[in-house]
Amino acid sequence: MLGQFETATADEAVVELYRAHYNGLVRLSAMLVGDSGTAEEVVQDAFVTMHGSWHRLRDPEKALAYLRQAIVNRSRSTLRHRAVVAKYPPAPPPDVPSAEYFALAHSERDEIMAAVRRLPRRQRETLLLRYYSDLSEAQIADTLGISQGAVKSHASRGLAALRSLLEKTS
Amino acid sequence: MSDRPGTFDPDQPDDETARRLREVLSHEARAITPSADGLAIIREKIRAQRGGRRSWVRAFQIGGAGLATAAIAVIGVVTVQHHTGSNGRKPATAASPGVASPAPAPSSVSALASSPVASAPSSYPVWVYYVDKRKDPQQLLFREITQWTSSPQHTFIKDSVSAMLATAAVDPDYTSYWPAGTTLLSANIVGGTTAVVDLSSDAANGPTGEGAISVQQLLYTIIAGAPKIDGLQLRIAGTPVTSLWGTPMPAIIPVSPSSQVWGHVWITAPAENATVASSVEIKGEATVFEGTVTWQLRSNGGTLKTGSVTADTGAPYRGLWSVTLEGLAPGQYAIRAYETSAKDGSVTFLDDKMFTVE
Repeated sequence: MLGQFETATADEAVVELYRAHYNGLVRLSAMLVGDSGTAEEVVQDAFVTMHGSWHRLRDPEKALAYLRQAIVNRSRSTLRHRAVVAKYPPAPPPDVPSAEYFALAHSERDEIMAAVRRLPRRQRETLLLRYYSDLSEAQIADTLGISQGAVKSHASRGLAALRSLLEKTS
Repeated sequence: MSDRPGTFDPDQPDDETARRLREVLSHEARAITPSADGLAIIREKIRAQRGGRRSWVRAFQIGGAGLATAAIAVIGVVTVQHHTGSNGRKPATAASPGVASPAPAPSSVSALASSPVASAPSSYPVWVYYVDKRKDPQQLLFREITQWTSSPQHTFIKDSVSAMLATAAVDPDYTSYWPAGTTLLSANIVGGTTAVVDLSSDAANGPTGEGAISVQQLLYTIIAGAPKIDGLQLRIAGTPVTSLWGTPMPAIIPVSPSSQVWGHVWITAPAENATVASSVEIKGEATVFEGTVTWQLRSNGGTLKTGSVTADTGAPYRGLWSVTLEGLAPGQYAIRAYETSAKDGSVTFLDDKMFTVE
């Protein structure tokens, strides 16, 4: 099946990648932008540009990497554009959860998600790609366009912020 | 802030924080249900770009500047191909593809990007829905991908419905009750969301009682190509249908929720009768309790392996699941996937595919 895939047309690549990855990518984008409607648009547009770039990508791994990159970038600019009406207000420093935040949180799960949303952008992206999308350090570096050392550092800082939250609440 | 670089080493087991984060993200993700019509929307957007109705500036908004430039170049080629391949417009532009394509793609890669300007219309994969013959426990819809040569007008509804009427299911468990010889006379959209489909008079005489599911089969096949459609005005030889094969039909037939009319368990890969390598990934979709799908690998009438797998979302949502089988000896196999009835442990909502390992 892989052999067939390697020589697939752009149309077939869209179908195959859609079948295998659409749900996961929408969920990733939804956690980056905060709502699934926007996330679907972001992912659909990424598929459209991937289709247009297929002559250059030609293999499913590269196409998937391209999709991830496009989705992270697009999610980022979406967030920037609607910062004013953000569902999640601008974050205080991650290790100082606000009083409102604790009042709103219903469970440890909500607290962790809220804390993830309030992390600095790179840390949040790194943690989502690592612990939701299960990407390797190299894949994350590629997706975010940063060095592997920077990935390591963002991940450690993000986890450390969450760790201090968990220690406070447990 | 403590900085523990060891926490990110993929070879190291997760620490407690990472483990909890993983659980929380997975839980959060499961609460997000992507719509079922994403592919149709993507195709529609690609088609809109090919037609040039939409601004290509969108391509600049995604990815780096270098990526965007490359994307524009290709979209240019695609547009040329489609104008010539499908309806013969702009022959002058098409005669010099080098102008649109600064970086020609290898010929094996993509018919869209690289094939010489040809008079043959392009073909593309179309989703067609079929009805399961097994009534297990009721008749539900299953989907196959078929390669379809686009119509001169290059319209998805016409292509999808024509493909459905002309193509028999590959899987012998699926069927279509639309009578042989039925053809599409016309297909239009009114009010943005209602498809008006006129079928030839052959369509009038189908098996009694199969009208309701067959109309949903038609609707979902349309929706796969035209995602905004949510209703159907059906005509046969120009006359609005008030009853189909003994089942009364409203003037606008609404689409039933997919959770009610799609097979609860689908195997989406390998395709029926596919030839695969000794390691094969079985992929599917499911709307089952807690996402639990049971599978069986069979050969020569005996069960070789059995197991269960959890789809990434449980009912009422549709989840994706996959199982990788390794080290299969050459030969013929059947993979079965189903929901085990909570009542009596029986097999329900079965789907199965035959495949060959080389």
